[in-house]
Amino acid sequence: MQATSFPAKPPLRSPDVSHTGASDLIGLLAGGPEVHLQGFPERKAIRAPWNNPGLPMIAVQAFDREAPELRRQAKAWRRFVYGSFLCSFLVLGLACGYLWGLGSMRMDLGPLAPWKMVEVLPGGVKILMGGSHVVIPVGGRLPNGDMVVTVYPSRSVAVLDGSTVMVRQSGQPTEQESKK
Amino acid sequence: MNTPISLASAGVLSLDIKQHGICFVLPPGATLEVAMLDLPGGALIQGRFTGSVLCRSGSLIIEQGAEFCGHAEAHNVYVAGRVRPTDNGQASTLKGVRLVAISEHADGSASIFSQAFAIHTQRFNAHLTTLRSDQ
Repeated sequence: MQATSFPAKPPLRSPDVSHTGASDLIGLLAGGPEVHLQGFPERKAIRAPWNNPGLPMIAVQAFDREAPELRRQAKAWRRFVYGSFLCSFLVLGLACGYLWGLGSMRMDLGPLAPWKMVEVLPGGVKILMGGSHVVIPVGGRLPNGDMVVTVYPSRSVAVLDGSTVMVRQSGQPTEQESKK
Repeated sequence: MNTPISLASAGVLSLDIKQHGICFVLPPGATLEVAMLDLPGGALIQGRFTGSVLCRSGSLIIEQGAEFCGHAEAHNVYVAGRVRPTDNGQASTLKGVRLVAISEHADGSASIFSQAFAIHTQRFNAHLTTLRSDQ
């Protein structure tokens, strides 16, 4: 019986890693000495603290230090805005009130055409206003708002609701006396 | 430990695996379900990880295309992959003591605890809790 002889196996040849450090092996596994992660912004656009070594702690501490100041500034700004709104509404209200009052005053102070009482007639008075004669009957009102209460043509006297007027023939009121 | 970070080019964040203390790599296509993975350094997740991982130093990096589900704690956490809730519906938690950075390619949801946040996407539903420096 002939013994079966197998060809001698070549010695196993594995890479010589005797001088390779663990980190090099890790690098081999990882595909290189560096890991490249995509999807991060350009350096100039990064505001987060991780783009510089050692910055995270500093940034966090700075944030802790600055946060109360930022809160104070935000609070002051809110107060300023609310105060501005309040002042604006106040000024607007005052302005509206002033204009309303001014309008009322304009009604009271409306321009009056120059006029004068020229004659006392039976049943009324005659006034000269704007170059024309106008008869105001008893019970009517003169341009200044006074009402003609009664007249005494014989004495050229007109009694108004606030005063008594005597008219001379020349057309000028000669006497006024207040009853009130 | 200050962790150097550099942006190799616009939109790419390059992390040195030595300086981030990476001592564990879950390669692409690999799936690991573990109750608790306690590491002396950081971890790089490129595959699917389910469970809890504690990186006692360094950073946890979840690369784009990777999937993480569970709870993680590290000094820094960088996420460009997907973070999904646990099977019982609870949100995954990511605690990066100093920093949690979320890439615009990341998605999913998580409760995040950190002193500083850098979140660059609106697709990631994050519930943030700020840690004080002594926590």
